[in-house]
Amino acid sequence: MNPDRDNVVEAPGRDPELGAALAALPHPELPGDMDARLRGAIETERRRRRRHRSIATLGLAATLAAVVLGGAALAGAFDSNSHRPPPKVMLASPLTGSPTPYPTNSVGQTYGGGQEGIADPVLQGVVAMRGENGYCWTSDLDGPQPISLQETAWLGAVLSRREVAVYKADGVTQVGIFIVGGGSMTYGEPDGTTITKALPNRIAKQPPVWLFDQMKGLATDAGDANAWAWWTLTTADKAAAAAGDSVAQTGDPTRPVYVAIILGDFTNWLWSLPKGASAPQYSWIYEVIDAVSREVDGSGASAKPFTAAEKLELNIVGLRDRIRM
Amino acid sequence: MVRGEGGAAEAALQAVVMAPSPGQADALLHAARRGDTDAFGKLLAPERPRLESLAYRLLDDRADVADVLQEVYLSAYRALPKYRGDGRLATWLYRITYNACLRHQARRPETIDAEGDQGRPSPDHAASVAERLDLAAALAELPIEQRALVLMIDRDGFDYRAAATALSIPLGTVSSRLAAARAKLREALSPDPERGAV
Repeated sequence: MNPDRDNVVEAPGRDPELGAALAALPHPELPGDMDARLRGAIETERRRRRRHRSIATLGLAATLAAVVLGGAALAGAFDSNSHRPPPKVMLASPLTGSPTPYPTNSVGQTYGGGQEGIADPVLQGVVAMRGENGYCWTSDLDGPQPISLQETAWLGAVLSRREVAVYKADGVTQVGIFIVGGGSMTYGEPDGTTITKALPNRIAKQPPVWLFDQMKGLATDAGDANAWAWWTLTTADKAAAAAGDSVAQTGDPTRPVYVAIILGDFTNWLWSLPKGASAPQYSWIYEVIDAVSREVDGSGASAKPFTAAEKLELNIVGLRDRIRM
Repeated sequence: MVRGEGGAAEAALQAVVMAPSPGQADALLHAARRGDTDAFGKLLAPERPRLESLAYRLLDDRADVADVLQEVYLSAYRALPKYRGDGRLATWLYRITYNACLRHQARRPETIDAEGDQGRPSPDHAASVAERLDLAAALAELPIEQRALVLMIDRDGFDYRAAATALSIPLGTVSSRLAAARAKLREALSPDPERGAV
């Protein structure tokens, strides 16, 4: 098979004069990050394709095991209403069981370019916005992973393009910024139909340092220091409306407040619970913070996304590390 | 396949703009079908400028071109395992681009704006600029299918059969619609007696 690559063949019936005039028309000047966008889109698709294969493999194994074992125990592990499964564990597991081909840094983290058929390294090679060679955390590139249709729909509304820190191979020293996200999200409805939804194309803004630190502290206390967060600056009345019943409005409704929404694995959060009660399986935390005093006005937690907050122009930020470039 | 520390992504779309030889193209296609993003980028790199230009002339909006180009790359990457390789890769990519432009145009509420080029500075002679603007405006006023035809055949040198394949129209329709498109564009290119008059 030969994909004929003769790019231009003089065709019968071609009008060369008109062709020359058309060829002289200006060429579009595309955004400077176009290469990075295309690389990001294809890399994301490649990882998604690989993840589907790994999930399908795991699903088949689980089905077989469930048949053998009676199914009861394993069925719960795939129930999206139970606590968040850690997708990063699936990504970190080599599909072939073979030793990793990637080099490791001084703390044992794998790094390099992703290779087909095996799990991605912890740190993936990228070219940053200004051309610096470096590595992004694979979990940063993957972004938040929905575990229910409701979460998928929410993320489809608020998952804009975002900046990701680029590091040296040590995974600590930042050397640049990489932009990922945008494009579209495809997911299946329970009736079997597939929906493709265009994602917001704007690039999320970085939060003030104090707000990042505050969200990071809250996520850490709640048990997942590497959680994902969304933030925006709005007014108290809009924040209260967006939070629904979770946050009561207090004081002047027009005063500026920050809204912070955090998504993570908060199952180990230390709750004040009656003896013998089990901890609720919360994945979502909501905080309203006074923009002047920086005091927390109200907060809430939920097992489901704060759907009404879609109306706010939220900015996604990974809490694993603050972008310092 | 062994890669250096730089990774698959970094090389994927960095210009290997010269068309690969048939043997190289076969190897790239084989690797790209298996999901190799590096090979995929190299495979598409020679076609990218013309795909960008086609999308720009069909949509007349640079912001839209960026979105469409991303959609084209994703569609091609997803569909590559099904690409039979029995035709020119460029024809297949043009078809994907044309379809992506149709979908994009259907999604946006406003009509095509024929003024797209007028604010762009150019060092060319004024008459040449005016001629180009006339041509760009006339091109923008053509139905999208006619626009795609003149760009594919007269500008990019595809034959009628390839254009018919890419646009999913009968061969006879190519001739008639191309003739109509050329007539309108030639009118735009002809000297305007009013131009420059006081």
